[in-house]
Amino acid sequence: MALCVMACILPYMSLRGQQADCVHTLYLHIVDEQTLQPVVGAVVQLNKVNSQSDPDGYAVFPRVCQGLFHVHVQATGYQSTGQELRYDYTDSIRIVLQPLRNTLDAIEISSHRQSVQSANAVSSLQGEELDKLKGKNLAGMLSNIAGVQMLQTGATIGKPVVNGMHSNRLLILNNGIRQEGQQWGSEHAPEIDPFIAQSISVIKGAEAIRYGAEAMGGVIIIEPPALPKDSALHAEVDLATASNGRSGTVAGMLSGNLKRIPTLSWRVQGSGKQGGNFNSAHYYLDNTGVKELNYSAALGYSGKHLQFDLFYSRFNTELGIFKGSHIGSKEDLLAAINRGAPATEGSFYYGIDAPRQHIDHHLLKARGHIHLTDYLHINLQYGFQKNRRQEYDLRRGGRTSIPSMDFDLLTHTADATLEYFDGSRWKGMVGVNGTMQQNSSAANLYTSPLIPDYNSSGTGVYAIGKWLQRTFELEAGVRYDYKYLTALGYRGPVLYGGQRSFHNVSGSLGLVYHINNQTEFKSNIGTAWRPPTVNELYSTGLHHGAAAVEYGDSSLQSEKSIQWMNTVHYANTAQWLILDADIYAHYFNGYIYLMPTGTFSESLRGAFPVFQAESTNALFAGADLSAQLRFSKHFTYQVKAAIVRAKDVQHDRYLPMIPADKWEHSLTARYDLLPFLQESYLQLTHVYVARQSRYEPNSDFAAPPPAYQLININLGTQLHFGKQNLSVHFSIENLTNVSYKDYMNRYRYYAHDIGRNYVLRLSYRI
Amino acid sequence: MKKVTHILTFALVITTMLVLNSCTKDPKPAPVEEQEEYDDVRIHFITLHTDGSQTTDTTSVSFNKEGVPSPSHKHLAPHTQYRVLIDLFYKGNSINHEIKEEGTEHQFFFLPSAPEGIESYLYNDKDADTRGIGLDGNMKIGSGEFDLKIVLRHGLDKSHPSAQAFNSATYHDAGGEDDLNIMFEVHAEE
Repeated sequence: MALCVMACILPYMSLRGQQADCVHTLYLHIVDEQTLQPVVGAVVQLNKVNSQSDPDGYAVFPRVCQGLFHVHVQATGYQSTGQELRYDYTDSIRIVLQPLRNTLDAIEISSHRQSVQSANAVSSLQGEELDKLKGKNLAGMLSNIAGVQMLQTGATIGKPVVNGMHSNRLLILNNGIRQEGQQWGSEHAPEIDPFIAQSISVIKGAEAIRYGAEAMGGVIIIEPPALPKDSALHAEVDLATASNGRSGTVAGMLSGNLKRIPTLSWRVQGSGKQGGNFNSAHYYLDNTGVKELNYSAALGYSGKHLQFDLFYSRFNTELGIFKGSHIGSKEDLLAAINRGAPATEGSFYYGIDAPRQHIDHHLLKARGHIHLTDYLHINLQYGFQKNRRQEYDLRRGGRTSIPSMDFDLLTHTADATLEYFDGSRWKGMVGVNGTMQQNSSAANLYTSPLIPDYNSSGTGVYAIGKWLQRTFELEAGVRYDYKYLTALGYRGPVLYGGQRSFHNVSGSLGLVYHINNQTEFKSNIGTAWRPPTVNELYSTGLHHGAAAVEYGDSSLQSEKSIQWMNTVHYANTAQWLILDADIYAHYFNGYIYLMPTGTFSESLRGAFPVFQAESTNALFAGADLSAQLRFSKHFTYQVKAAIVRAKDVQHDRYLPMIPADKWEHSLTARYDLLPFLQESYLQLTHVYVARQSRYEPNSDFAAPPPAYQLININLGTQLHFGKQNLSVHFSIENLTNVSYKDYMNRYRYYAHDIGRNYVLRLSYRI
Repeated sequence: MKKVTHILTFALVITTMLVLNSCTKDPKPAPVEEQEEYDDVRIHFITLHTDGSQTTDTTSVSFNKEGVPSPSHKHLAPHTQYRVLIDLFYKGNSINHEIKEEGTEHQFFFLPSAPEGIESYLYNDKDADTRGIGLDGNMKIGSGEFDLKIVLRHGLDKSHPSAQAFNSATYHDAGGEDDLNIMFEVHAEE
């Protein structure tokens, strides 16, 4: 019997195209090739550092540098091996070992590449890159990836925008569960605590096959760290403090496993944040404080053929809405736009007054992974989410303390997948998922909710096949979805609503071509869809936050799209040059948006512009580019650019709220001044955001703001004391205190973006 | 055999999900008792004697939900003092008390399209800080034909310089938002 050992090196990816020196944790998975069983207790030596494979066959090496290394594997019953290998953090190296009695080649590199999860472009934030951003909200962190921008409602509310798409065209997977909140509102930020994440990844492009409806523009994946397999207690404490808003954030994480039952491991985590009014370059933004308290707990069992884990998290935030955005009528809005800045200078305080939001999100997840045979695995997952969104406005008659919106959204999701891998060439997956949702508005709010109550359910079945070859991989997938929605609400005494059902078939075809060891080309063409949201179907009334009367269209059909995403990644052998390009085209059939009708609705409060939900055909095209050049031992230059063009091709009009062109370049110096410091860096970044010149003049209340430039400085280092690690990061954002407005910030009508900000971040790990 | 069991398990999971799906019930919303918007506004002009005492001569303008005045224009005597009373209604009930109770957050402004349209206005009602509200006031009409805009601001800073004059054109600068924004034509001619 020819026994082989496979060592798969699955290093965590870092922000692609970023400096990615010695910050990656390397996981070597050592398994018996024939039985695919993990090899326990194998001694693995990497650059003179020893590690032993755990019960799952993993040997872990923290802080591994890119480039050349020597790996040596020794295991009882197997041939000891050693070889020089060169790897890039995106590589996956398969090493095949022969048993003792066999004297043939000890190591065979059968694959020297990334274990591709998607034929679309994937970018991730983790390790040092993530530490440098802690304390920001999720969208703020993600905007460090080329092609990801932010749709903001002030400094506290941010939604990620991937290649020009956001809200219901973007899917967020929080620990494997699709995030379900009131996503339709642009002032509704994702209810996720980024402190839980060990990695945050963005898959750009349509991923409708695996993830179903709404994964049109991309998928954002938030992954907590794996539960520990060793007996040590792992702890992490993070502190972040920022001068702008005078905010403080504390977060902690503790994990370990049970001594008596080593197969059971656990993790608890929590974070708290308080911030007051932000200031722009010249004045305070009244009532922009935030309070946040989040926590989570996880318990995992890891047996021979079964893995099971339970996870619970709670996200709770209260945030103030900028006072200067109080809008009672169109006249108010125009007066605010003419002024361009609040009438008063404002002041600093922590208190949060109306208008404000209070959001509470619970997530409960149970997941099982069963090894049926060596080639066949089953994943079962159930998730329950409870999202409560309360929005308080300035109201009369003591009603300010009563929310004017109070939605309670319950979501059940269930997923089952069956995975097959023949060990060399074929990978396959079939899956089914189901969703049930119930959204209800609280009674006695004394005002009609913008959307009716609704219940919905959906089912999807899909199959994906992958053919792996030495130089290329081919992937094909097909999916069928069915969705049912029943909505009913009162507008005053009048009942409205209806029932709708939608179904759709999606398909995708992807290619990953390893041109050579330096260059990889990926191309993916896929269809995706989403059903119209409840507000697009049924909303009929005044949207106070937007100072607009919005009408839904109950006859709207599903929005369908086809996207072609091409990615080129090049990294030369010596790793001093890394180039990435994502180029895409995305065509929509029935792109749903709110179209200004040009008419006004009269009321005792004044006139409001009327918007109507409409569908049209749209084309998005663009490119995200990044390049990194290490021109000396200590210096790296990096440039990132994101360009997106979007048009309503049916009417030959530009679409609103599409990010302007953005260029960003930075110079990083890496040098450890003192012997006990590691990974020290000083980075100077220049950001240029162009004016959005592609817009329809009468589609918006105000023209897009002018272009702006920002200069940011980051510096940081790491200290190690035995097993302990302290990382310190300091940054100055908007160094020159520029007074600017961003087209993607809805508050640009009323105020400038935030001014200079000093931020200190500390992460302590053991 | 084991494999068969597993496949059966998988099939069971799928069936469960499909069954879960088929039992979606209709939502049961609660009727909404709207109190946020006014549906009726009436403005009464009571002619005053030169000594300030009231006559029995009253004329009114009312506004429907859409803010349309009836009559569309009002004849008022030029250079004459009027007591102006504003009544806000919801389903036939006056909600003026809501404004009075939160008087420190509310203020009316009276903005004629021609400055000579109103010679003076004095707030008769005061909030807890003795600043005017404007549900009750004395207005001296000027002359000519003009549009009279009446705005009720909510959440403004009543100590702000822009909130001091009854006809402050910069009332927006005092902050807050419109609770009421109506307009009608005044004909103040002999």
